[in-house]
Amino acid sequence: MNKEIFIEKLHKILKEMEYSTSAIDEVIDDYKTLIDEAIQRGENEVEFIEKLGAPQEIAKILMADMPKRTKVDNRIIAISPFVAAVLFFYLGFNHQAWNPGWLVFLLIPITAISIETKGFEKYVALSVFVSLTAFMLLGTYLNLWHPMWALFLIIPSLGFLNSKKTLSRLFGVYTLVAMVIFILIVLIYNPAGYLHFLLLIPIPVMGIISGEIELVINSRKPFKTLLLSLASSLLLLLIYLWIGLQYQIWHPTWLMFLIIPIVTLLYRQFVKKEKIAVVSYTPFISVIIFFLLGEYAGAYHYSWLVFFLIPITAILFEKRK
Amino acid sequence: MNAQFKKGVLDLITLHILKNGQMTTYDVLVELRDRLSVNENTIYPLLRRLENDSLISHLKVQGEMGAPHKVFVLTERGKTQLEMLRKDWDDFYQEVNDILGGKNDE
Repeated sequence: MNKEIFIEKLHKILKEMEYSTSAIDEVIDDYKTLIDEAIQRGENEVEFIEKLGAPQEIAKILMADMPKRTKVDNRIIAISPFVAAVLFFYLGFNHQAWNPGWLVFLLIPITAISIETKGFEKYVALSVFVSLTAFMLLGTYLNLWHPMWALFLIIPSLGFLNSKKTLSRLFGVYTLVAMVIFILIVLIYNPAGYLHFLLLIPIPVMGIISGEIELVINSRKPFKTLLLSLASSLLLLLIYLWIGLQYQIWHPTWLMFLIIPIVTLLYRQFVKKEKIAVVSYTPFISVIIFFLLGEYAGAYHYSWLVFFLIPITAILFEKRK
Repeated sequence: MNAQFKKGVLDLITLHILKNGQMTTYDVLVELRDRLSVNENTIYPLLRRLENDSLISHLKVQGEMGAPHKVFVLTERGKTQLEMLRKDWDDFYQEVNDILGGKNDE
């Protein structure tokens, strides 16, 4: 059995045992790292995996120390899409707030993360949704797209603070303070130049120095690929900022960032030949179509229908157990 | 060997190994595999259990090849537990030797 098959089997068994998703992800990551390290140190991949034992056996041994979802947790997670849908239609039909009413759908991952993730990791994961919600609300109602896009810096700052390394934590404090100062400068003085952007430039550099931005050099993620993905992400950010500052268009140009996960999935599927489910693409594609139809055809009241693409794709293309 | 007894001994040895500094799961696995006849499939669950019991904790560090990975370290609670297990082991070893008359008496 090679690494891919072993990991796939272990993942499947752990999922069937209804352990919490975050615990499963952690175990899977740990086994991937363990096997990679063994291979790097000269072990034979197949022999090493054989010695690790059958995935069923591992899952059984892990049983005592794996947090399981309770029935109540499962019910809360299962009901969250319906609650979100009801809220969305209420906001849409009664208040014409299809946008940013769609934000209520973030309740689905927020509920799952709140239940399944423990400790500081939970806040790091939730920061994505909190930043997006604050950005959309402040942008839509107060037209503060700029400088509120900087709120997304909460995500790396909490990522830094989550580290056990003092240096990373210091970088986290810097990122948070720089973000607040940057926002205040723009709100209070609205300077014409770009000098205040200097505050933010050290952040990606800090990410690389601290190792929080992974410039990994190994067989699975060649340095060139990672450098390329980092450079393309930074390029997208620069394009976004340039369009925003030059033409005062901050929304929905942020959709360009969704290119990153789509390209990553395409790369994994067609270059790395990994199995990627079609349904993995649809959330990103749905969001893009939803906003384009909403913004440019004024059709937020029906563009939400595009989200049906996700379950439809899952039904049509996913293998049945 | 009795499974419960072996589990206790494995805890002691793992904590002892980690006393010397940071180690990855692979480092611990190699150390135990080479010096003790243990199943490799028990090592990761063992580390996970020790971490859940707060006897060890992990840090994410940049690996030799650049890939960040977990390294385990002993916590204060782990150090106390190690001392306790060590004392238990020494007492047990002494008692067994006393009963058997010691190796030199054979």
